[in-house]
Amino acid sequence: MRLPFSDAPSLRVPVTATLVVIAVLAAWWMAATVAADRKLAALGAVPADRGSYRIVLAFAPERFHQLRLQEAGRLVEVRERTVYMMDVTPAALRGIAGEYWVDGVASWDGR
Amino acid sequence: MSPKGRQPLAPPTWLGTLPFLAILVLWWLLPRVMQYPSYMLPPISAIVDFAWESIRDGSLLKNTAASLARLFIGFAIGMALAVPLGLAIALNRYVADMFRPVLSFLQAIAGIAWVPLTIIWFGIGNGSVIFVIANTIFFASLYNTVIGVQSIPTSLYRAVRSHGGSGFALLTNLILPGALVQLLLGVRTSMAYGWRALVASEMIAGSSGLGYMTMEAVQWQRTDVIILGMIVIGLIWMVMDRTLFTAIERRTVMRWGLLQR
Amino acid sequence: MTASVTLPRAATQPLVSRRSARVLRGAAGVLLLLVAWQLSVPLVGLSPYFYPAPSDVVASFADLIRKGILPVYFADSMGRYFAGLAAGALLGVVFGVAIGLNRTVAVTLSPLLKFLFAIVEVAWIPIFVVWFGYGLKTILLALIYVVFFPVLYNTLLGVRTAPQILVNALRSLGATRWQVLRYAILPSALPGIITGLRVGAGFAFRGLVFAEIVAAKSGIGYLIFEGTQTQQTARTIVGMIVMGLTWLAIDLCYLRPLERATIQRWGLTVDAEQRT
Repeated sequence: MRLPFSDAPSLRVPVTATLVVIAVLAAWWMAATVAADRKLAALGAVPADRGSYRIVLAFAPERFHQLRLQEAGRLVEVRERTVYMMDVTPAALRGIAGEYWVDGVASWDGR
Repeated sequence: MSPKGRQPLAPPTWLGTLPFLAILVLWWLLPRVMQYPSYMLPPISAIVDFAWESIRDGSLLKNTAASLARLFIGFAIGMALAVPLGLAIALNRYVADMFRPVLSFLQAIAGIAWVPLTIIWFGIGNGSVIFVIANTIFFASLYNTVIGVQSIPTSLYRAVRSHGGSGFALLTNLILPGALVQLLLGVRTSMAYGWRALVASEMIAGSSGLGYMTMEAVQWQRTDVIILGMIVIGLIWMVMDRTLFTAIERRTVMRWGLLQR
Repeated sequence: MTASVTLPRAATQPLVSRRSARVLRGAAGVLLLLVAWQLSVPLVGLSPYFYPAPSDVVASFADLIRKGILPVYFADSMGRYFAGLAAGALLGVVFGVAIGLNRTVAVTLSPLLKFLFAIVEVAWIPIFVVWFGYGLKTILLALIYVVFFPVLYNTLLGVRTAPQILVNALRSLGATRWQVLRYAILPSALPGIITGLRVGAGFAFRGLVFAEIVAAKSGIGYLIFEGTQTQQTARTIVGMIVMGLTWLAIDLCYLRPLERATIQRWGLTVDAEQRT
């Protein structure tokens, strides 16, 4: 496929910049997937439908994190660095586990 | 009647009024055809009523005057600070090299990005708005001053020197006017940024003025106020553009032959 | 520095090349500013709420990255920016070509467009908020609006100044309207389009920050605003710095190369007159 203006050397910078951006996004996505696998493996079996979990962060969650987690399920309680959630689907859980500011995910019996 | 030659007749200028008429007709028709809450699009009569009311009680005039006053104060401060610094940068290579990266960077964040900081420093009101406008105009004028001085032809320098002028004479007779020309050329674009900065900062950090009036009305869902505000903002810019800038352009730039129209 | 006779280095070349000297001076300027800023903090004596120090800003930057806030806000802002820029530019070009090719359309629409452009994009935000609420739709619309007009006007200019000889030549060779468009009009309009894009990109960047301050819950503009609301002014400064660096990156990596590519290619010069 012949890119338009591929004979103009001065377009090298924009094209390179775009490729770099795409590469960074791809790397980010891969790192998130690997991290999610790692954290979920520690969890053990994941229930097929909505479940309750304890999300442990590396710091006390700010409003930003609470909003993000609320997109994944129901936020029940926040205790220091741990967030208790219910009604989290496996897909949403995977999303949370992929975030690098989440230290770990543990199951919770809901009490 | 123009002679019937090969050239097609230019389309008549009254065609330009058609879109406005179309909008007015649609506006009048819409509530009769569709159901929607009246705050979404108030009838034309509501806007006319509010316009009349705000002219009569003087609030429209007060807001407009407040906005324009801030614009010109900010413009003056911005220019006053930019011209000396611009001259220093244009005339001294070492100063230029040192300041250029910092100033290019600061120019990228000129204007609105400073509003939250100004709210902390000056609170809501005139101080914040004027600071943001001055900030915007400062960087635009700085750029224009530097370009202006740099584009003075060397032959003119030589001419002044050959008449025995140097230092102060050089500055007042050659460099300042040269910078001024570019500044005047750039007044239109600087003002475009400045005007946007004015309206935007009044919306966030103002306590009076057109921007404030328009944004405040969102809270009360007074869409008639919003629309009137928008129309006035548009009209004022058009008037400023037509009268002020073209007048300046005609008197200075075209007189001195820099621009042919 | 042209020396056809080789003299000992000391005689012809300075120790540091002229270009590096300028870069060093620039760096020195930045350093001087940072040092002055850091030293002025105890002198000014205000709390970090009013006057954060560079050290506070660096700490805040690290904090924002560690907590995953900055990457997300940055990505959100950039997504909105480029989406709005692309959509606005596309609409601007389409309308610019349509208007430029047809005299009647141009005369009919010009006054309306002039009036709409006079209503600066920031003035549309309140009514967008009323109609579309806070959030992505409003922000995108504001961006599209602000990019549309510069691109439209500059495309129009470019289309109108397409060399008639070229158009006639193509027509006489039996080209269809689309072919004339593609081979004569669009290429000669391209420098104008790129200029319009550059102006629009600048307006859109500032418009993005404004729209995010007013109508967003994430993004760099929101960060700048939120920092002052939550007594974390250092975060505001981080936001401003990220904003500045991002604009420099966009300008250096995309806007300037594109401008150079089209203007170099066709050897046309664009004067500042076209830039509004």
